Amino acid sequence: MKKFFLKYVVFRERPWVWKVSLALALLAAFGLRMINLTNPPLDFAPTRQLFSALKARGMYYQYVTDAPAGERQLAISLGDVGTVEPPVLETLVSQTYRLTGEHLWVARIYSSLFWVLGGLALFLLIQELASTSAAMIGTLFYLFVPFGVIASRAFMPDPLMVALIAFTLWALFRWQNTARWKWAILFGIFAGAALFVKNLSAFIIVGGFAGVILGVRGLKRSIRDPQVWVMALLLILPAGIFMLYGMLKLNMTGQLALRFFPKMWIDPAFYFRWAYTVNWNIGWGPVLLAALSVFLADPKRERPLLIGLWIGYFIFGMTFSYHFYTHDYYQLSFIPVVAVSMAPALRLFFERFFDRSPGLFPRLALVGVVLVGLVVPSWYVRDQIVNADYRNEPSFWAEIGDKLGHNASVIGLTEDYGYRLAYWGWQGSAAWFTNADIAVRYLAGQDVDLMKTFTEDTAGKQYFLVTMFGELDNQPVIKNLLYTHYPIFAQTDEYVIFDLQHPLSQP
Amino acid sequence: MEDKVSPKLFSKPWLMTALVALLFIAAMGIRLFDLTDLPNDFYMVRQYRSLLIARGMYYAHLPTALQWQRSIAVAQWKGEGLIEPPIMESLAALTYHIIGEHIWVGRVYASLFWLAGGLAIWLLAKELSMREGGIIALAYFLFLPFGVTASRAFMPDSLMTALIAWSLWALYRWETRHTWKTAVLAGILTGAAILVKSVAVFPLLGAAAGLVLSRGSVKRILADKQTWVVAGITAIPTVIFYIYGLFIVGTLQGQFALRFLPALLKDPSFYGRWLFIAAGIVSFAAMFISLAGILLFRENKPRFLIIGAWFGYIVYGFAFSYYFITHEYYHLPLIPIVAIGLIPVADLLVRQVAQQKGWLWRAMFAGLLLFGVAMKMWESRNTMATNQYRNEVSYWQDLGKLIGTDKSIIELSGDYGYRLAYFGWVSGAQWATNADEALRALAGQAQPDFATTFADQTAGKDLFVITSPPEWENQPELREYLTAHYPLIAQDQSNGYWIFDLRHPLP
Repeated sequence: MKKFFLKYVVFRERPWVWKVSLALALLAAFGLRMINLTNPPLDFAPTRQLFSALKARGMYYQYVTDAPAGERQLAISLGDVGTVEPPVLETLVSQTYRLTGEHLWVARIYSSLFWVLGGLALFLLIQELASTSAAMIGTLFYLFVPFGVIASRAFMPDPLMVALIAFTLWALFRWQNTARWKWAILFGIFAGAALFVKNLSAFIIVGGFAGVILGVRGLKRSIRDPQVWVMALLLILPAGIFMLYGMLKLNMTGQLALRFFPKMWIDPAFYFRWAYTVNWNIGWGPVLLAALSVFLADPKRERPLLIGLWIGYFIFGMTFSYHFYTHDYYQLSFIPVVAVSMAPALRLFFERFFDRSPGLFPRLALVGVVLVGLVVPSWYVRDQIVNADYRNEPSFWAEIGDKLGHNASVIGLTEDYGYRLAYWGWQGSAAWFTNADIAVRYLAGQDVDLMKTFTEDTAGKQYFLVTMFGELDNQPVIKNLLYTHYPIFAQTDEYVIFDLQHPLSQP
Repeated sequence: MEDKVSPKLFSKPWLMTALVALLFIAAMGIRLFDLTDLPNDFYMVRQYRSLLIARGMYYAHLPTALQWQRSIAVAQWKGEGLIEPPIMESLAALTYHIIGEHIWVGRVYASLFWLAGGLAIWLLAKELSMREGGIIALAYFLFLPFGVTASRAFMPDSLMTALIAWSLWALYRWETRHTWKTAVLAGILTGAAILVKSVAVFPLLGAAAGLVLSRGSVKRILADKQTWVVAGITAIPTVIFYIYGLFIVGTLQGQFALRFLPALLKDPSFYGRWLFIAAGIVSFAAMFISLAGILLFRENKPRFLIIGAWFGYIVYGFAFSYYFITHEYYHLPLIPIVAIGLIPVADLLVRQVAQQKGWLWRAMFAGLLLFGVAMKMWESRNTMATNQYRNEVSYWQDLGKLIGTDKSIIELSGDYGYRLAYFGWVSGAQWATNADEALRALAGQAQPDFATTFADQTAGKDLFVITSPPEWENQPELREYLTAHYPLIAQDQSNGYWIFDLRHPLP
């Protein structure tokens, strides 16, 4: 029995053992993401998720012929929330709605599926880069890191983007090692798709690509290599065409506003906050291990790719300095980078382990340690997912929507820039500044004249809705203005609606 | 031997010494940050208890002290039951005689002890011929944020943890050298650790058992005179202390009540909470790497030492189940255990880095290590800077004056009345808090009748003082009874305290 275990089961490079283990890990990772599936998607980056939800519903209603005309028109109009990226996931979800009906959890399934499939690419990449054992641990980290689990259930393009980054890096490394056209084209397709889905993937992908070109292939040789040109062309083409189209037709030029803050580079607090965000979401332990591991990588074969990825991530952070510590999902593409970077250290660990611990017991002990390493974060995530219950939100917003009448002209200080009201209340609204909005404008050197902005933004509006009382308390001028000069149309402990059309006195 | 042939991180020994020295200086520096703030940031009940004991010891021999202050200070000291030998308190009291009474003296000693524990980790790594890995383990031990916070606390745990580390070093040295000198030293240090705080017996007994079991033959173990001497020297101080505490003074008897709660062991959530708390304290990644590291030790001796220590820690958790999930500092012995488990993994990685040609990679590694340390220091610094308690002194002093030091009081407080006792010089009997009641219920004790309890506990008391608004809110029966039957003679404007006159009940 012992011999059987040693020879066939425990930590031998037996393909079927790894295939079964990997399949089980992918299934478990997917299953974990399905917990509390039908909870409204407010547990992670709710603004971004509701943005996609509104867009998908708008797209879906274009095909719904049996809906009342008013409802259909409202859904389409509320779905016109602007364009940030090509609506790939939204299109996929809206088409699925045509089969299943409108369910927000459809997106959660797609996102989870994409992330988990990304694990497959990551496994193949690390297997080639280091070893099968290292690939297993690296992939488990990618699949079960709590931040990744929560974020990869979200209705936003990032899970698909991260998965495509993993596939891109796998193809890139295969191309580096084989120089075959097949991998060059696959790299181009995956990279082009990743950039198309979300162009922020460019930093990591271009970083890795540049690392391979400069560190492995050589710049001179690469310039003369048609494969490199095809790869670069495929990489740029889809996103480039979309960007051009977006700027000319979709008014996307505003996308770059309030994103680039070079003056933060000279503020040490920025780097500490960045590091804190990384620590909070991914953990210093894995990140330091990954960073240290880059030192252990083969200088010719492995290190250029890894250094390229880290430099790409660093430039990404410097470019989006403000968002890098205020929007934690900007760290998502760092997860596969950390997982891949850990590979050389993991390879070394397993080499030493097999060298020093040939017996059955140490191997079973290691399996036990790995299982504990899976169970603890999984249970932690499960608790987080179960405890975050937002099922009372839809009815709350529906009540406000009914009160406002669905077609009123509203400005609001409400959660997620009015997207909750739009999605569940079927009522559009303009968003009044939050404190964070004001702060980011000050950071960008803009002056915010609140009174002037209030006059401009409320012109022609019927109602001012407040559901974020803390935010209102932090804007005493506006609070005083509203309560002094405007009658209350409706209020409960959770919201107040001011009637802007019938002021008590002129402000 | 491996040390001589393996690559070293720094070719010049002074560079390694400088790096270690830098770590110690930084570790002391971060612990001295916000030094003079009140010790409310970490288990203040335990810290104020030590402060009262130290002050009592000091005032007992302070000729310039006012008579009333001396008698109160000594009474407060004597009123504290014996839990552990008052070593830290005696040291602080002696220091008060030289520099005067300062609340931060205990903090400085605790910090210094923890740093001394770091030295033991470093020396153990040297004993293991894993000096390069010792650097990482040392940095982990010195800068783990929970460790930084806990090691500034005026309580015996910092000294106990340091002595655990020293005992593990001494036990390992004894096992490798097997001389009488090393045996006696191992016995003294292990005995000292257990004397400082008896719970150290769990990891140390486990580690010692693991170590001797690594010899393989039980016969040899039993026939070894040194083993018996080590056991004897270890046991003697604690046995004497317990005889003194149990049979001479008699105050130690109460220490065993409400500690062992077997009901918890049947509850699966207990294990989940235990795991989360432990992982949160020592960092999940570090715990995982440390467990895997056990498998990388070159010999059985250190492997069995750490496995034994882990086993002892688990038994400790079973014995103090309730405290394990309510008092984080009960997990402090795990920190040196995890740190030692990190040594082989870190050593493997660092030596591999040291194999790289040129100084750049080594410098980058040192930079990475220092960056990681800086991040952890920043995290700890932020926690300390955010929590400011200095303004509490005058509050408790004023309350003490309002009550009067001559009054006999019963108190409902959130800190067992320690702050009022320390700053206000007023001690009183304690009315059970909700947490006390919950613990008694968990232990299967019957809930006493309210009227009887009230009559018993308030007999002969002048005032009922409530200083904890949450407790006041959560004890409606007491609130209603006091309000209905006794006059409220003083109340804080912001509802910080309520004082009822028990001597003049309402008609």
